[in-house]
Amino acid sequence: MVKSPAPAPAASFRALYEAHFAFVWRSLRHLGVRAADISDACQDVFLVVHRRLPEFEARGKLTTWLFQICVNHARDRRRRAHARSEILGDAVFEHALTTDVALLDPTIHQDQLSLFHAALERMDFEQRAAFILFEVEGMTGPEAARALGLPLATAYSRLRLAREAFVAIVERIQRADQVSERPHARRAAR
Amino acid sequence: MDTKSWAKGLPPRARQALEAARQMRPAAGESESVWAGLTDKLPVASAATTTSTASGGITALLLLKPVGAGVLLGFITAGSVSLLQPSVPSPPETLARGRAVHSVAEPGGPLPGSLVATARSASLARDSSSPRRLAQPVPSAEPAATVAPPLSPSGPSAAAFPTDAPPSTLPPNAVLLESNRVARVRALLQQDRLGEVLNELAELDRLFAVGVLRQERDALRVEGLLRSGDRAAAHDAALRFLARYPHSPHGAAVERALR
Repeated sequence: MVKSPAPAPAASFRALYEAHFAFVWRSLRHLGVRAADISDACQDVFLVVHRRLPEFEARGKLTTWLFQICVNHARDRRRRAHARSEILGDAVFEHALTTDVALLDPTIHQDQLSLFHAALERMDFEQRAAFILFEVEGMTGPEAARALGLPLATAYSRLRLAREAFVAIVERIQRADQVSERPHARRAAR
Repeated sequence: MDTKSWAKGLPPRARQALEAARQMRPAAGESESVWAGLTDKLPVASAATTTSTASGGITALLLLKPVGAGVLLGFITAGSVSLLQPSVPSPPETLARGRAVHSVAEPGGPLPGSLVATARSASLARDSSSPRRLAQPVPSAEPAATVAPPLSPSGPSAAAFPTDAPPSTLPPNAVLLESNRVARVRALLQQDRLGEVLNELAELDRLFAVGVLRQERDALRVEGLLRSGDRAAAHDAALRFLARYPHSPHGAAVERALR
């Protein structure tokens, strides 16, 4: 019988947690985990980290490995949310999914962060991950490619598409915001 | 083009949005708060040597230890339920104090034996959060059997999954199984095949005592009873539902059964 690796020693795990909590937290939020769910999601991720840390081969950066765990977790949450919305066909769930309902309301994108997340929510998930790694976390090409599990050229190609999508989506959201403001302006003028 | 150059060329709002994302940080104290909940769920040996657990943490450890791998299903299940309750603190916080273990399972009792087997097999699938590349699985990180199949846009066909297997032999993709069966219940409701609705829900209670879609099933039961004309049973089921899920998004619909 194969023995499973011993769990990570407590002191070193705590140190890892302190060093990388913000990165995990931010990655999960940018990958679409709602603010209401972020604490649970962080706990879930670090539980996996705790269990799998002895298997981590320190050839690359720990953050690339952590990001893979975050991506898988965020993707699983989205799948479960989509399963619910398909079954129930309820508009509430269609909107709730894994995002705050507010993100889909074009009238409240005053806050820059909510605009950012609204844009990412409309992006292809794989492009979203690439965009986060390069543009938010500032990873180098090789680091991001490793985290994405892609050849370097493919990672750059995905980044290019993600950048184009980001600009186009932000523009669309802004146009929608302007259109939705017009009725408000008309009412205010009366 | 490097990141700096590209960001400089962005339209103002896009650039500001990106900058806001780069500056985003967790709130003060959030790290400690998450850690406190995490230590309640860590294996006993690790938890004992980390920071002291909150009250009830020892109770949680005693409750969770026998379930072993089922822990992962428990709080992921609860985490999934929390998707439908955006205004409620997520159940895993209470799971850490042991109470949600009972609320997720049949009320008043420990986790049934069949659940343990279900939990273990499902937890292997839920361990898809283990590190693997986006484009391809990491061969050494986990065995292939632990990877749950992705959802296809139209959903897996009912024939792809055994729908009458006892809990101990359920495949790891229990969530998909349950969702298929719940979809069937909705279809039966729409066709007014109410007797079959209630039978199917009873069967789902047996197969998925702790299911991700337990709340939805309970709401469908209220509707099924109401439409079948059994107002007394619908009334009782609605009261139980509202007591068990006080902040459910189905609450308004279930309350109508009480009028």
